[in-house]
Amino acid sequence: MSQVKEVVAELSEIAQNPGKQLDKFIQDGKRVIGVSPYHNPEELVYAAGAIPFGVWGAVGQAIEARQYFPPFYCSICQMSLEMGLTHKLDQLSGMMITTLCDTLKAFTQNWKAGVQDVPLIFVSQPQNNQCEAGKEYVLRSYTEVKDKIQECAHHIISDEELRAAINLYNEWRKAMREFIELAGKRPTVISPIERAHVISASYFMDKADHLEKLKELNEALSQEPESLGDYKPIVLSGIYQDIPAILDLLEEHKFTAVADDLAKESRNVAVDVQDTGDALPDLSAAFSNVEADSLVYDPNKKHIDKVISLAQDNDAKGIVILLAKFCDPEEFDAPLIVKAAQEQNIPAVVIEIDQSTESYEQANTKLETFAEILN
Amino acid sequence: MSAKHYFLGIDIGSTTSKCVIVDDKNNIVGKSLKTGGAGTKSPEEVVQESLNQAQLSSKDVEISCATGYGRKLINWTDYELSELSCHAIGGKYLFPGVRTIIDIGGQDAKVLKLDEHGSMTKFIMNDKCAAGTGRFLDMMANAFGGKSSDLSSYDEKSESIAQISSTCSVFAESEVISKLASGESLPNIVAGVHESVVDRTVSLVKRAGIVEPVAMTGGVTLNTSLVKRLEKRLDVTIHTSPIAQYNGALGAALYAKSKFEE
Ligand code: SF4
Repeated sequence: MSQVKEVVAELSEIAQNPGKQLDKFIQDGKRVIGVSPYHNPEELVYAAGAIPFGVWGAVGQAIEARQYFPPFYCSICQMSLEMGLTHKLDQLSGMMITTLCDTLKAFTQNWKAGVQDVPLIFVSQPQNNQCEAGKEYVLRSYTEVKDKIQECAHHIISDEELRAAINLYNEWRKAMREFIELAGKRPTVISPIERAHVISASYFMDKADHLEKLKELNEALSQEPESLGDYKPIVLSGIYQDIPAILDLLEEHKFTAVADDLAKESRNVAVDVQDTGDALPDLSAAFSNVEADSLVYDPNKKHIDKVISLAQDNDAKGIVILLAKFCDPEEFDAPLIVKAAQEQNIPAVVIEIDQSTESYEQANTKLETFAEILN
Repeated sequence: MSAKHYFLGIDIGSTTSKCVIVDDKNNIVGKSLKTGGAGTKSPEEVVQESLNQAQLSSKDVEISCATGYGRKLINWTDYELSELSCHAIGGKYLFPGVRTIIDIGGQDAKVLKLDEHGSMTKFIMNDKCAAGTGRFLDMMANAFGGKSSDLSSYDEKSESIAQISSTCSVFAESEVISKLASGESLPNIVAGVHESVVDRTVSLVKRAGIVEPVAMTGGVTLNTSLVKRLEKRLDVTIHTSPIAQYNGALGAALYAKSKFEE
């Protein structure tokens, strides 16, 4: 128990102070490259000897970014650009931005136009990721991404280095999946807020260091029996949950995510990279294996079935959809998830979240009522 | 149960405070409503007034329950329960067999779905803005120097509906003023204001899915013209009650009673 608390305290500190981490890497003489959502091939950064550093916005108000984005763009992109424009990310040697939604596409160009000191690494990914043309497209795109990363990191990446990075990331992803499974069912040992902090910290750490911590945690957690206490088991769906006010509300109303479908949590560690020979084609093939995700072309809406199965397979009492405000990909799927949940008699609720929202009174009422329904 | 027991429910909203005391036969023995919600003296006053009406002292209250957005600001009740759950409990009592409850309060609007046993299965709340709520009606009444309690009688005199297209309360207010300035009759403007609230409510109800019988609670039920417009648009009979404004507090009192019975 005390071992869990110690590791968790360290990771919580990192999760809540990313700026300090960035300063530390720079002081240690590391090159750091920013990594935007989603499914970014950050193994390339690691292979180049640089530190991949997650940039998923921050809680606050976008002021400078409003010159570039209209108000109806999601806060992840607004706040990430805001940080760039207000020189909070000047220490980065590059910023990888993907293109899986329209907001991210605009973000790539706004970054290029507004943030002069940090070069854009344009990561073009096709939403249509499973057809042959899509697969070929990703490989070509990743070849260009690799060149640009080499330029930013001042390092030529060898195939061995990339394979080593891939192996490390595969191991880390496996440990993350284990952690998510263990922690969700033991909220009395590791609280849902602590669980979220452990995951958030991974975005600001050297993955090898985070892996070490995960191994310690998983070992300690696996010694503990499953124990829900008075927590209600739910599935969390959406992009992310790590907004302090939202984490507090979920804790206050005693929800524990026995499984999640969050892009920043389980979806981010769902796909491993296979070893079939050359490292770069393997890395690009992994993107083609992303499925049941609101961010890729999903004609059979496997994403919806996946969320329902997660609830059924993990004995969740309900589904909480944390809908990122102004997020098109998620807004299309949310009503379908609610409908499918209804058909299976699984209560579901949609809570709109945003990094720039200051009052969550309505979310509070909704979550409280939802908790009462589940009781 | 031989000796009488009393149960108190208090609903501290954004604009009003309400208190209801029930006895062990579910009779309402005291009730009070005052404008002024969280952060005012009204919560204290409604409790005192209800106790006086019931000729009781606070010691006679067996169990109490608080609800509403301001409930966290008081700490003397035995229980607290969300306003939606309280509305479901109160609604089930006031309108036996009800399956859909529309509640339009001071600053939010909600639709509750109940199953055949009266348990809440689903709820939908309005977006985070005052359009379509009691506050919107207050603001519109203010715009022409009237009170929201006058709106229903103005609407009765309307001959047509002046279109109020803005959903934002601030823009709608200037729209009302400019319609007045251009000579549009006040009753027609009020009809337009009501239709805009109805628009919002209809979409909320449709999102929840309507199952009859339907009841409406909250202060806006006193506006009979608006209720009629809503009935017409939804093509259903909407049940109301003279004490529909107390529904949340009533639900809290009944919840307190159920805790006693446990
Ligand atoms: S997927 Fe949604 S939340 Fe993510 S960047 Fe795009 S619009 Fe924003």
